[in-house]
Amino acid sequence: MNTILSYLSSAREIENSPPEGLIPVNVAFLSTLTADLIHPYLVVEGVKRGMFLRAYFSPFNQLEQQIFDKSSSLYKFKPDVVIIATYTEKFDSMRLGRLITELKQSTTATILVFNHTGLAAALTNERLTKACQQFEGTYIFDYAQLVYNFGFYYWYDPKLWYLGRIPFGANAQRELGQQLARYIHALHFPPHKCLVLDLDGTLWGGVLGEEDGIELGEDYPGNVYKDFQRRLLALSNQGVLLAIASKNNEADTISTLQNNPDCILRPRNFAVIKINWQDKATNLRAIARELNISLDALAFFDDNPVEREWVRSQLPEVAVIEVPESPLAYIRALEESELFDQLVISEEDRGRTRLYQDEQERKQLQTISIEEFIQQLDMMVTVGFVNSETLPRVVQLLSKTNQFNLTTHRYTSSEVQSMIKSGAVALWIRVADRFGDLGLVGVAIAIPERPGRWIIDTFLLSCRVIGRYVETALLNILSQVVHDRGGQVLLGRYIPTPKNTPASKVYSDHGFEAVGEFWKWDFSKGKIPPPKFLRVRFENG
Amino acid sequence: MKMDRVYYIISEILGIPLDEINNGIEWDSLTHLHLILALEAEFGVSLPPEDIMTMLSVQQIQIILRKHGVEV
Repeated sequence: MNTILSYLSSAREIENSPPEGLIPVNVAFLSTLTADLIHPYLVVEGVKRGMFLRAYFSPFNQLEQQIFDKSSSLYKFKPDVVIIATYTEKFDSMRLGRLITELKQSTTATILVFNHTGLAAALTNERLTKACQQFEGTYIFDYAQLVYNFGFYYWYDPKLWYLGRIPFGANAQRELGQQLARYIHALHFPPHKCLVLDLDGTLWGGVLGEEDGIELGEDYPGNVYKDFQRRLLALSNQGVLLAIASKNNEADTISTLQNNPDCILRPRNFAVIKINWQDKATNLRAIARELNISLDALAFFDDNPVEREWVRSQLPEVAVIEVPESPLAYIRALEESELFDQLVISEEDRGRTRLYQDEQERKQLQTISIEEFIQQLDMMVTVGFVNSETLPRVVQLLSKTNQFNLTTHRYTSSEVQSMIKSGAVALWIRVADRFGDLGLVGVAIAIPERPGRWIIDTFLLSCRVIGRYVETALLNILSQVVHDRGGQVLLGRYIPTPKNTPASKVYSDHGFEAVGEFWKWDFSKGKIPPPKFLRVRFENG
Repeated sequence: MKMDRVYYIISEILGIPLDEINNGIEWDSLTHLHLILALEAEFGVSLPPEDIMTMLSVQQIQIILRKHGVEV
């Protein structure tokens, strides 16, 4: 099969009649190299990931010309993503900063910046990274890592470079198209929340409790498993929850996890541990329930093909990773699953496992009435205006909150910023209780539709705090701010999805009146009352 | 047989039906590069820039491929 032929003809077919249900994304390239050849690869790899990518390639080496001219074809194209791909040591971070500043004034597109290959580029790349961090919605596309992964001689075809300033050969064009589609996918789809792992044959070799003992250590094959555990720990530090579903003797297993000197993952690294003789589908359902996440947020990694098939047949929503026979290929399989891709990692992500463990302890208190329970929790909520510091976490919540989400509007950071610029009120809410800090867990955005009349565009809470009157606190402050800005009525809407029933009664519970598809709060009644058992603090300013 | 394959590749890369491929047909420089890379992959040859720059018609493509030992 000729790869180039098949990609070109598939891309043509897709563009002639795009399949239904794809997310359309306009991708603009600005470059000092010729990137046009990757077009068919980008289109085909985009469709594989649920997106219809339309690409615009600006003429060679026209960065400033396209960005500073407000009537340029770049802006006419209305890009959702702008890719800046440069291929020279002279491209410095000062120039990049000027380009991005200007771009940000004229478009809400997310920006991806190619870094550079080669040892000499290390310093340049560090500066490019720092420059990108100055801006919301701007990320490095790690081109250097990609070329390193495949090797320069595989990647580069000198004839294409000298004929057309194309720094990637035929094979590399496919890899690059695929990696770009992967980044763009990560901008539009949330990562999976929890990775459920087996133990024997997955976290270590051999079978625990059998005479030979397990394989885990500094020499082959134990070092393969040990490194896999290190990779999993890194994933956990990025905010992915780890869980165990294993058919084993629980006491022996926990003792190994606690005491084996070569075990990198300890019981505290797992949000839920299910070690029993029940079938794995049952355990996966229980894990989802305990973490209060839906089944489609779970991924499953088990070396046993029978278990994988069972889970696939019982729980089609769960992402079952195709585990290779040899543990040597585990890390790559995990990486190529693309299930945990995300471009920003927030402070909350880093501490997530501990947050969920606290939640389990909280639940053990729950044998009293809900009011008593909440009083005992000694909750303190803080509300504030969304600013550059809180924006990354806010955008993350917008992109991944499904259950307690009234409208399920997904916005990029640039879109949120431009809403605020045009007068919207955007609030975040943090929650702490006697068990610890739950972090930033909710967002509300209200838009002045016309004088006196405000619409709640977005109202969401992380599922960690459902049922604790946090929404009452957020509505209370939101109504106060809207009223201060001259609001006379506040209108909200509940847009049902297959997942957001937990949020369906918010407005009726808080005394809003039904008016057609809207719920109305009239400020002649005053503002929305605060919750009884929570201390609410408003960081105004 | 191999030359049928050349026609097939040109037709697929250009998105033009096989029976409409003739020696007068033209394509742009971007398509040219896709076409060259597809021919290289298909016949396992590496074509030098001097040859690539002359392969601008079906007939020229056939001549150059023969020169590189592709049977026709």
